[in-house]
Amino acid sequence: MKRILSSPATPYPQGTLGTNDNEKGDTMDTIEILEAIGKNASYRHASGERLLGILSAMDASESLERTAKTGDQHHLAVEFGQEIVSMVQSQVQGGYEDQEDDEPCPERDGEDERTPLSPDS
Amino acid sequence: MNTPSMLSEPPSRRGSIACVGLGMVLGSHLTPLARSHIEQADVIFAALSNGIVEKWLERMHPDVRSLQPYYGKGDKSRKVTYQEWVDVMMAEVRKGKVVCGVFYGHPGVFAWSPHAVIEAARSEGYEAHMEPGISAEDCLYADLGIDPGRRGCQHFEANQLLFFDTRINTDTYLILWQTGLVGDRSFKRLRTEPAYRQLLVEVLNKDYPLSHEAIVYRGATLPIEQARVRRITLGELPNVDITAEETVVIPPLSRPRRNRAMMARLDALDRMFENPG
Repeated sequence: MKRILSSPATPYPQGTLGTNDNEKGDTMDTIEILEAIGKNASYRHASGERLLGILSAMDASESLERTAKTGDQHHLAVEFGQEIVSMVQSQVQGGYEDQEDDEPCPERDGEDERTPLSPDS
Repeated sequence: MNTPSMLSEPPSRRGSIACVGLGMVLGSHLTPLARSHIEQADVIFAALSNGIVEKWLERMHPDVRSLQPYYGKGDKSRKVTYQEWVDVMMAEVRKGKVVCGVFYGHPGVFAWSPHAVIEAARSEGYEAHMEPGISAEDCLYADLGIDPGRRGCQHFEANQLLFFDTRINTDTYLILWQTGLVGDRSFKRLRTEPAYRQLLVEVLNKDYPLSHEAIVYRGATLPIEQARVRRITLGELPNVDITAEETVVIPPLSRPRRNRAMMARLDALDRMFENPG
């Protein structure tokens, strides 16, 4: 999964491609590439075509390039496994109070529809 | 002068917990303070939106324990899961560990367990803290160009509109979270069928025409993605595929009416305070 970061031949701003150790030619894997893109304004908001150029210059994996091209994260299952990529359940974490149906709601009981409460009520 | 005992003797180790938000986009949203909480903790518990993001978190700390396995496979209420999350985090706090719960987005928004674990820890005398993160709501405002201060903004978990008689103010934006599983009373399902969204539309149709715009929004989680924005009508809502992580935004229908009686009272106050003599 490790990739060698190729030298940027490039129209990309100096000092922005591979902002960390990458400028020294260190290897970057997919997580490191994603982090590098995530914290670089020039990369994060690059057009689709330019982003693909950036990924190519970073020697990104084929599955990462395909994910960027299609917007479908499931291509990353090749690298990380289906279980990791399908992990979406945590996005459902509840939120509203699960009150009992008959629990009294003092602000509403006996109140006319759409009538604001007066300070005295 | 004697050295204060607090400097010469290490205090007995007390557990603590901090719940922090990782933000929504890998690499983009993590605050320096949240990262510091992660790095200084003894143990990390993680409930994140994306397995890749969890892999990223594992680079920051050697002991990251995913809360993901506590979910059932459609056979277990999420309420049970969320209580288990609290229990497993509190068990480490009671052992005297510095615990960090890492949640996607903001740990206190549409998330039961972080609030519950902080309350539990404080009730037992432990230090507990919540550190905010960039939430899906924050991303929504940026991506859709909505300023909640301009017209007002109401947020509901979509189920609230079905389970309770909820008043809607059509002067403001209406933002409905977790619409993709609206109507699920079992807390086990991750998606519900179009017929359930039809009931939601019936409720909304009391205040909005079916031709009114509805925006289906999904924020990015990986930095190689962009937000997905689909503009449909309210009447189309049951028949479009909506996932659990998508949010429905209903723009304002009406304009607020000026409160003339209150304007007159304000005028009177202005006259009194601008010309006190």
